[in-house]
Amino acid sequence: MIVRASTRFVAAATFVLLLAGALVTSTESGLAVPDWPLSYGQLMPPMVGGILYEHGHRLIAAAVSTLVGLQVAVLYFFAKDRGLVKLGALAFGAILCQAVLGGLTVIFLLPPAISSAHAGLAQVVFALVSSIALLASPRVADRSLFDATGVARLAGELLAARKLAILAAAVTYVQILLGAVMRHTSAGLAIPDVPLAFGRLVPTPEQFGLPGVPIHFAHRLGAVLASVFIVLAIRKLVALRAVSSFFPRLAAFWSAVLVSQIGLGLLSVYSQKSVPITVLHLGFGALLWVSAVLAAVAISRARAGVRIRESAPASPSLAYSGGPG
Amino acid sequence: MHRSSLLKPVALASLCALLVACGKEAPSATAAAPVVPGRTGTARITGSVVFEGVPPVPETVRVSSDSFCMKSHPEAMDKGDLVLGEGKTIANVFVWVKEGVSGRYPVPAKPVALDQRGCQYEPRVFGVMTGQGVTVHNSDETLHNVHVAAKLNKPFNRAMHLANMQLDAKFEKAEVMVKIKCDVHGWMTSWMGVVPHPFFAVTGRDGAFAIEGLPSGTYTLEAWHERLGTRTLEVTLAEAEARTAPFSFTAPAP
Repeated sequence: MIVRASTRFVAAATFVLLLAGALVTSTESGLAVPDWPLSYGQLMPPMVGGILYEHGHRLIAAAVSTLVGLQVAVLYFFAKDRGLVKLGALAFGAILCQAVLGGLTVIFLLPPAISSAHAGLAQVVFALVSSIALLASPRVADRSLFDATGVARLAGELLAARKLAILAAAVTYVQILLGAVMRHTSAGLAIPDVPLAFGRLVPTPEQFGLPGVPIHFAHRLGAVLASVFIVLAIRKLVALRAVSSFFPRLAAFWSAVLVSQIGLGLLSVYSQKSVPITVLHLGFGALLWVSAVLAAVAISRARAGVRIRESAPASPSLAYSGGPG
Repeated sequence: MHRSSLLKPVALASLCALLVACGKEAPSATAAAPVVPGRTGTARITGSVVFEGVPPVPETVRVSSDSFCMKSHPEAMDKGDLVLGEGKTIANVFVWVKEGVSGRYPVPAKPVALDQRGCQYEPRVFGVMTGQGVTVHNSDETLHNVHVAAKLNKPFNRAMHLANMQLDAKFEKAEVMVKIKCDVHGWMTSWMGVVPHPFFAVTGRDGAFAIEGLPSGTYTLEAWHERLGTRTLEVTLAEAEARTAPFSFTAPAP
């Protein structure tokens, strides 16, 4: 109970931290606090103007880092799956690196490479803590979430679905990185119209020469490509309903997030980068990426049951008897 | 050991970031001045900068994030990025001799003053010679950060968290223009033109400017405005001649 509750809380808190980070870039407050690790030489500066967002992000980051560290202890003492302890330690290491990257962005005045790396690693941390929360769920841990007969019957489908989920995760992650570079190079409105680009399907070579246009257009192409892979993966997940009701539920969530995200992408341009819209756009992008990761993790966990059963045919109950997968 | 292994990727990443930053658009600026003394004379260029057409509606900013700033601006304040006078004259246009001047000119000993007063920069646009001091002062009872987003000169971001704090800076490379901003108060912006000679001016609300002490020659004059872009004119001057250089801007493309 404590493992499930704490890991879910940490995943939710990490999502809040992502949104707080998005708020910093959307309000252009990244350098409102010029020093690091202190803020104006103190632990708690006046929370005025951009300091509210930048220092607020630092405070939330400190809290979430502590939570991710405490999560390792909880997993160590209470989780049956020792693999979760390793994953928890990895997440803790990643969030500490993330803190250092955050400091470097301040010290080096937001260089796009470091700022984009900071944004990219944030998504890795979110995927790690979300995966831990999924794997710490008792029904996933003992595999009672998955129907043994369904897993055996749809083994091929599971394999294909996992491949598609991994592809969707990879393409979505690249798309998130493109978005991060676009954000940190202020190219969000480099192409002012949408869905067309300068009134055309593809900008002219001269238009590609304008600042920010290549990265902005790459982000739009990435959106199309990521959507295609996500739709294919969602279709496969729906077909896995015989294995677990988790898959169609994840597919429904993933679909809703995808539709919302496309709308938010369009609105980001229409609204001239309205702060709430761009923050939500980043947040929903993170949910798309994590949905793909969770799909791949859940399918792997379901398939692990088949492998256990194949290696011990005399005792099929072993297939879903718990233990590390 | 552990520290050095951490520093290596950090240094590499920083180098990459620096290369990316340096690869960006190069602001227009004259090349480094040779050692020979720069020529002066008695010719002058005067002129005024006007707006043609229907000016855009002034944008306003609501100051709500800092109680001190709210006292100075209880109502929504003009964004200040396009200030027009009577007859649609344009203030805050930086006019400078972009081409035609060479040699090294003496640097004024007196630094240029930039103040943070009422949560705004004063002046909004100013010029400074390469190597001349710039003194930034905080007249406000609130904190500001001074973020000099230079591309050719060394950028910096420093805290000025107390009233009457002061910082001194120098810029050794010509760079037109350098954006100075306060990230705490996102509406606070100032622009600095760093030039290697004294032939520059900033228009007032009447749109007028005067550049004096030029020797005879042919010059490319550039007028820069933060929102309206740049305009150039070529002017040929005889010794002691006074010429006018009228600049006009139109609304920027949406």
